[in-house]
Amino acid sequence: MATQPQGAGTIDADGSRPYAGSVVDIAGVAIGAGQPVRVIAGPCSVESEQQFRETAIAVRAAGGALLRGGAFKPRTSPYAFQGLGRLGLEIMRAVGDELGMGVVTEAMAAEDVELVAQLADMVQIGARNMDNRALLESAAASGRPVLLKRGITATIDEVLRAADVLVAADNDQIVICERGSRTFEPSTRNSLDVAAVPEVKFRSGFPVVVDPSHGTGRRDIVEPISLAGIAAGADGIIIEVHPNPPEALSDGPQSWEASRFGEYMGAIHAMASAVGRA
Amino acid sequence: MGEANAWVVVLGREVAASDAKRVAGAVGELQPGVALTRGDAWSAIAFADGRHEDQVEALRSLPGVERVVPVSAPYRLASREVFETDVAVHIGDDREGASFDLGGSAPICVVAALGERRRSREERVRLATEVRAAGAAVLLAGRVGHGSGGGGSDALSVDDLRTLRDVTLDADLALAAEVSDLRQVDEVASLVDLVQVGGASMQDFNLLRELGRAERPVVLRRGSGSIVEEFLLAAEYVLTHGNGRAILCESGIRTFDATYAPRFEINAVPVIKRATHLPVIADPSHATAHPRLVPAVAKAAVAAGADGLVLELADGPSGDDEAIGMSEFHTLMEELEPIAAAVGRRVR
Repeated sequence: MATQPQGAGTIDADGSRPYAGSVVDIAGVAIGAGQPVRVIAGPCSVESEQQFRETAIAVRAAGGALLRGGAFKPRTSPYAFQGLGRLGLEIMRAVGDELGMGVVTEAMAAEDVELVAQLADMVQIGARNMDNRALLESAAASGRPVLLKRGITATIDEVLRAADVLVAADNDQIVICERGSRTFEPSTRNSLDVAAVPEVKFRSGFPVVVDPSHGTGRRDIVEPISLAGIAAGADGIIIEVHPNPPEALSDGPQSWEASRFGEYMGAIHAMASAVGRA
Repeated sequence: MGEANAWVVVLGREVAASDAKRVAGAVGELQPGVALTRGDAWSAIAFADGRHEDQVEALRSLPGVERVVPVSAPYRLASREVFETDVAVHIGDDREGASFDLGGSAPICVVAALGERRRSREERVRLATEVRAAGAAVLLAGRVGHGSGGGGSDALSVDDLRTLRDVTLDADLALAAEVSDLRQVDEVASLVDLVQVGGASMQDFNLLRELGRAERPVVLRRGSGSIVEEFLLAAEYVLTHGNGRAILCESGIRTFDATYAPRFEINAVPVIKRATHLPVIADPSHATAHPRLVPAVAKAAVAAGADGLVLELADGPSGDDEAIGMSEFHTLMEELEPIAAAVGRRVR
């Protein structure tokens, strides 16, 4: 039997869970206990104003709650597209304002946090930076809610310790993202840990979103894995959507087609209704 | 899918035995030693590489042949290329009592596992009645060992299985048991509706061959260190030796995170469903090893497209092990219904 690790995450030493039932507000959208399942959607990378606007319009039309996009991109290869940086942030802000939607984006370095927090409504800590203490502390200090992604080989214990760093820096507006981890299985990019959804919620109380795009790396199973996340109790989904995935500058094989996003949201809505969270 | 490396000759649903024999003979001339595989509503023969379209053309016109399909996946009879739609496996064929389909468009099948604890007949009757009333369709009895179950073994004896057979017949449940010794396959198969192969035996190829000759559906569990392709190739062993009724059970894989070992691999459910027409069930109990996680993972598996669930049940409340209590089981069964409905299914 699995033992309950003690003293890690945000369970107090006396076993109480001060963040049980947490709800985090992002630009007027509440994510967490008792709230509807929220969908955060957008391209992996902001490639151009036109590409981001076209995606954002499709996301909004289908009922997406928040926009995501990457301006600072942590790419495996130094030769891959590294993102538009400040220009990307400005595009997201402009389109978000135009459509009346909040935006979520990643900060990759402590010195970028101020700019990201100025232009975005939520600061994302990427999987590769889950243990970057300076970045966590800057993100916490920005005053923005933080989307904390579980590292590619992080245990549940470790992602909760990273959340502890944010809490210690006086920011408890935390949403934790399960985005899959590295396993021996070669048919998918990562393996989504669906049991982490109830376990992270149980142990920390923070809202949990599932990332079926990175969690699979395969568009053909993004929808069933999204539904699985919702059935397991996820408070939201963060999904990559692109107007033309084969031409995407990053993550094309796992990105959902913007033109079919309404179809996807129909399935999401049905499952959210099934768990009483439409 | 890449280049075709094999062919599968699919015979019609109502094929006459004499036609099937003639087709097998014709395929045998192309590749000696091939066997006919029988599913419930299909039969087929797979044969290998290097045969070109012109060499199989003659087969297409033989009486009883429905299609001759090129296959590029490493597994052949199991490949989705052979059947585009999910194919159900019938449970409980030649005995009275429970009789239903698993997979295809059939309702979600719930298998209640009661561990290997030795119980009195009265306890078994009570539990069987209770799980049937809650909606389970199959009772998974446990692993069958040798002798009377003594010598420190908690395995079931064949006598236990006989008792359980009577109990499940009365309760309208199908009976499943795990076999790990190929010498026991025939005896166990004669007493149960489904024969299970544990994850540790997934690549016991002699056992798989023996089960290919058995006349019972086989539930094959994924080994905790096996990739999906190896899992499907293990199923192919059962299929190609004649038994078309294989059911795949995702049971968790080993990862770096030993906190909740093993890990239920949710991705495998749609990955396997896309690769094969065979039914796919999931065991959230074994794969999470924690009763607190079982209901959420069970719901996730159904949402991801699983055709069934194996749930370890405790006699009373949720225990220290992976078993969930009866009241949690009832609640879960109720919560599964709308989730199944959202993906166009029902729970039996």
